[in-house]
Amino acid sequence: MKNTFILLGLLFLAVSCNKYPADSVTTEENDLIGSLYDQSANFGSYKTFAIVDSVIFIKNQSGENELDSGVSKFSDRIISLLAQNMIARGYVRVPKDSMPDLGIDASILSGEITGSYTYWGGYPSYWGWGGYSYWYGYPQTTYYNYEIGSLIINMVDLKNRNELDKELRVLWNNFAAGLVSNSTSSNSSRIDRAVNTMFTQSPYVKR
Amino acid sequence: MKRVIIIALIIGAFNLNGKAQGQSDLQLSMSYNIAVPMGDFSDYINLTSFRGMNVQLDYYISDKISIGGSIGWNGFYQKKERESYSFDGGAVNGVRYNYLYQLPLFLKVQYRFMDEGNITPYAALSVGGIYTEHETYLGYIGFSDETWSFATAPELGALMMLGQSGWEFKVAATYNINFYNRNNLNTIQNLGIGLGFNYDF
Repeated sequence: MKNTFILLGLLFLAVSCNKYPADSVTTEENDLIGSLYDQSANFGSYKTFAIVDSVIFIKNQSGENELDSGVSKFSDRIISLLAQNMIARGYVRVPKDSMPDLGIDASILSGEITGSYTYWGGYPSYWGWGGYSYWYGYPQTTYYNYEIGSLIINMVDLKNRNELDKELRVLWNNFAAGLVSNSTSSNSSRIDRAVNTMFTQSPYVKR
Repeated sequence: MKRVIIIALIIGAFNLNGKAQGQSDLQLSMSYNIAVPMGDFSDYINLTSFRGMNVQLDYYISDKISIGGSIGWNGFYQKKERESYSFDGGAVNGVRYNYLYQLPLFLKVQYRFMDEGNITPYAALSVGGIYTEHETYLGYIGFSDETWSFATAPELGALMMLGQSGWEFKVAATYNINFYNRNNLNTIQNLGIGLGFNYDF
């Protein structure tokens, strides 16, 4: 009888122990797209805009420039997406030297995040959790190393320049960050989604 | 004389408790638990958890009343599709992964409505603490937090005797209220459905 009970117990434990449901997370599902704006700005008071000629690539500190070819590949795409969205919001695109009210720049930077986390596999807090292998010795430390690529888009006020400080006021700041992928087709759809999302989650950018 | 007193005490105890002969004082119970998120908690995760269990030890102080302790576990998880979350001065867009694990450690009083018959309904009240592991990821960034908080759980159920084997089949509905009040979650409430067995020692 007692053995039956223990057997039942093990059965229940087996049901409870798997930590996360098998859930395949793709690279692009990790993408984050953020938009921040100057709440004192009146986006309706500007009419014209200009965009930089090409996307600026900011290399990481280690000097690697794997993204270089990718950047030139996506530069035109990013710029034309920005233009389309701005025009759809009622702004007029003008050349850079025609005194635009707004200036838009885009840059890509890449960097690595390296870190570690440690978890304790012992009793009592984790017995129901997975990743549980105390007979190999614990606590366990797992190291991770991701390469993160970010697209950064700024909108600056060229109409009301601060001549004294020679500073431009940033009205709208956006980032799209995610794990760097080697697939060109996947990257282009991620870029499309990133730029379009920046606009859809910022309904205040309009004339 | 001493012996007489001891015997008298034992007899007295039996009379007081009115305990049926042959019934054991100690009962171990084990059940598989399903948990349905309720209240505000369902805004965070609204998927039923099919990963849960509970182990309970009861001591019968009379035929109908037992006191005991229980330890349990439940794991909740929900992935939320890509969405923009607005805040003052901006918005952020991403896929959200919400996790919540609960480990209740309870003291429990249980009352059987009948002391004979094959099927016995019962009511119980648990009070204690829940160890909560709370994890949320938005894209590749996330946070996790672990804490103990006060909790209570009223329960209704029924026990079915399986012959004279000392085994009982158990069905229980428990309403768990975890006074968490952290990280934008108020009380974590869920309705637990338990199926399990009791064993008399």
